[in-house]
Amino acid sequence: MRLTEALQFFPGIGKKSAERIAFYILSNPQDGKKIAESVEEVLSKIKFCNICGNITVEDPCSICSSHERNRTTICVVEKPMDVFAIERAGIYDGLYHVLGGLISPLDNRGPDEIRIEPLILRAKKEDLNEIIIATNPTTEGEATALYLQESLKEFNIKISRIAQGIPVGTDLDFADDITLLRAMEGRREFKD
Amino acid sequence: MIKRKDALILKSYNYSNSSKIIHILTEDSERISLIAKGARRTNSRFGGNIEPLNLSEIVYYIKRDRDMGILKEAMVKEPYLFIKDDLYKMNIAWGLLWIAKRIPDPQDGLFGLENRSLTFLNRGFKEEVLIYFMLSLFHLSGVPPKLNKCVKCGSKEVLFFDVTSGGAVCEACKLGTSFRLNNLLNLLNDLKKGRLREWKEITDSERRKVIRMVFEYGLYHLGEWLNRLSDILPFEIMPKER
Ligand SMILES: [Zn+2]
Ligand SMILES: [Zn+2]
Repeated sequence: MRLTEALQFFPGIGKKSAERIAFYILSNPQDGKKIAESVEEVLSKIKFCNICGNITVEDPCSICSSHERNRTTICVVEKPMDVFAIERAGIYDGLYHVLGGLISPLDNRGPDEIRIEPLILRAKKEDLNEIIIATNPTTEGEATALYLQESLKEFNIKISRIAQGIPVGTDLDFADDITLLRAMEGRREFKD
Repeated sequence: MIKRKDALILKSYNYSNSSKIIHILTEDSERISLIAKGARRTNSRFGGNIEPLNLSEIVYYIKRDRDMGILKEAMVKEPYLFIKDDLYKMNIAWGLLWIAKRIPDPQDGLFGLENRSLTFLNRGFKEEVLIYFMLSLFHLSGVPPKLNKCVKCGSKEVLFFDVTSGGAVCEACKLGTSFRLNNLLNLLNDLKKGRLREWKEITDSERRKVIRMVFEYGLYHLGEWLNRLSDILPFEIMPKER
């Protein structure tokens, strides 16, 4: 059946789950219709925000046009999912900038292929205090962070990098040497 | 078959929601791909051990050499951290990894050459490492430039270098396309032997000349695949207009 095959494109959905969902849709056609309509609506309305590059229905997106948020800080991430993760945690109230990828010369992706130039323009135009670089702590994420730091240092803006260390709820003795080293470098003093 | 080897991690890709695929160059200079199940989870024991530009000891299972294997264990031996903290060195390292990934038939000895070169970079040398790497790669590939006497007549009075002739040439044998080198031939000999300090003694324009010459030699003797290297290296090393 084509539906079960299509459902298996979704992350985390295997053959069994796809069959269960397909069977549910068949036995609850109203719900199935609702899903089909909302998928179509999203696909017809979705675009990229001209300012931050996040996916959005309205351009500029609700974050870029909000006056409730701290407009002097930008958090730079690789992809829209990263914005979603930070928003879900509810730990940050500034603005974002989505690069749409990382510098990866082995994939033919240099600085010009991702949204670095638009970020430099924002640093020039907007009244910013801080740019937080929140790319992944991978070799490519680090190289991209170094490049951003280099490109942004001419502006009078604080450039910071998110901390790296041991994931909460895991064991120290499972951590690799580099994670341990970074965690040690990023240690902080207890405050009373 | 389960194998335990040292390997240079060239590239890692997200595969599924939880897994990654890594491309590696093993200690016997074989290029293989492995799936690292669960590597995207925060509690994965693979963690930073399988990041590109690490020299890691890995244990993997592979049926036949052409298949994709399964990564069982990985433990970093040398993360080359001083490269990863420096954008300029990182760009040179991308070039070295890119060659390992793209060279049509990785020769025996490529693994050792990659790691010796990365060690030089990690210790503080810069673009001279690239020249050392390329000269050694020509040697591994069986196309070393002859530097001590004229490739054409055997004269010891060599002042020029000619890409198509395959090395140093004398005044009488030089072509219109030959580079005038004078004392730079000694420098090439030093770099080839890993005496990288000599690079500091020459001028910027001499450095650019040597880089261009070595790159053109590579294009001619190793093949056009090398062309894309100029897009990867920083502009200061390889200006785009040629
Ligand atoms: Zn926006
Ligand atoms: Zn001659």
